[in-house]
Amino acid sequence: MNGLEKFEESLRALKPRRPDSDAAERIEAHLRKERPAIQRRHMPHAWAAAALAACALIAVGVWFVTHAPPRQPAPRTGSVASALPLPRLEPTLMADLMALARSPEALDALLLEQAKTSLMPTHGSDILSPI
Amino acid sequence: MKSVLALMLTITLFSTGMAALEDAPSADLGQNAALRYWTAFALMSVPSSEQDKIIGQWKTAPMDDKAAEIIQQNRHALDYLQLAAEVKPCDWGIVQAGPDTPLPHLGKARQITRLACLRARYRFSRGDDVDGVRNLCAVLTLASQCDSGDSRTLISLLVKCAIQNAVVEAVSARLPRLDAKALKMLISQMDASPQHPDFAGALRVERKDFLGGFLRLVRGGDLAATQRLLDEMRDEKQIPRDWIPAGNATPEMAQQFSRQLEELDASYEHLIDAAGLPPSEFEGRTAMETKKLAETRNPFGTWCAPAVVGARYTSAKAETLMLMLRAAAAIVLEGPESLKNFKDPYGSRPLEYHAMQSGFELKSELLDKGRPVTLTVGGQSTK
Repeated sequence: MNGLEKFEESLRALKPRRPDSDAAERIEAHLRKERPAIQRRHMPHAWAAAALAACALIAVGVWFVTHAPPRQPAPRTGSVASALPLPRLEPTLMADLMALARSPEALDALLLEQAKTSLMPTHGSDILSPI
Repeated sequence: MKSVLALMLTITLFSTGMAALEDAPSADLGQNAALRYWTAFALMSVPSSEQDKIIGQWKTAPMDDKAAEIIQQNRHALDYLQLAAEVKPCDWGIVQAGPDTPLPHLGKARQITRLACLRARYRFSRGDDVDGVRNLCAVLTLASQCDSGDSRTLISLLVKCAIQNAVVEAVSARLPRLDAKALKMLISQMDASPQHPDFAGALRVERKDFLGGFLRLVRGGDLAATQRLLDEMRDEKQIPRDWIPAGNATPEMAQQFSRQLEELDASYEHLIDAAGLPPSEFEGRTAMETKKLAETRNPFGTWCAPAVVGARYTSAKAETLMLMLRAAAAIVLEGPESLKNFKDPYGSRPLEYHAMQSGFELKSELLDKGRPVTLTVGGQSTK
């Protein structure tokens, strides 16, 4: 064992020493006496600081809500719609574009055909008459 | 300390209250014209085959009891159309689903336009010009709201143009005899919301949503989307048969379509840049792009070109007709010399004016199917 190893061995042997029991009791007694006084002295400041922080937080929140630039609405996407195979008469972009590829007249005819779906029966709008 | 806290609390409550007040209008979900339009659409009645024919011929149909019956059956729908036009924000709530994006409002808008034009003609025939023009102003608002926000596509642009053209036709025959109050109402509507069709904007949306939607699917190896494209392609007469792959969709075919759609996407960029050109020049640019795509036997160029070119002509014609109607209203109000205030949007000279026995005619340099776009004012009786 060389000198350095001896030194390391002695370092490993070192352990923290417990404080003297009498000293510990004295410190505890002192703290018990001081704590309420500290609390009494600092409480109003703590409450004011908390209220100020809360006001600041609310004000920042309000500012963000009212002044932040409007967010771009998230694009509406429909996984259900894209998963459904739709027949050509259905009013979809695809069906309309396919008709347009044939001719503008074909598109117009398709749109009018689409419009006829789910119309009210004749005289159906009379349901509003009593109002 | 208490007073400081009270002051802070007051400031906070006040600012929060003000914010709530500022937010209140946007929280009013009822202020959406689309909701009223849908009520109007839902109240349209199913026409009998005879009524359907009359509605289809609204420009020339006799204004008799049969026409009156159709108008009566659809009065609530048409009244709601009027109410919808009073609301500015319009959100159709379109759910973007690429090629399957549903656009059910466009067909309904075409149908209610025909009914409203029939009612306007009926009212003109009874000398009720103000209500007739009020109906048509509501239709003009519908036209612009069909092609706004999320709902903008090449299709909605064409529907907007068709609706505008219907209004032009409905009112131009009556224009020289129109009541002064009704005439001023029409002019103020046209001046308040100019109706220029945004062709470049429509192409941009088309590229992003339709072409982009298909490209994402095919690039991701979606065989169902590849098969759909294949089926549609096989139905198109103008695509050479030997450019279309044989058999059912395969991963290799998806790759091929993905590459071809990317080429089309690059062409779209050039077409968007050229969208402001007069239709004949735009047609030339489209032909160049189609030729480039044809060199690699890319079927998508041949497929899309007629629709895109047709839409450019349609939007230019609608723009010209609306300007002509505005010019015609000025001529009726102030005389033919007021024509100098209106420049032909697709010509180097002012619009041509020709007096007629019962009105006049305006002519543009813009050609539609080889003939100049012309507006006849008062040449045809509305009765």
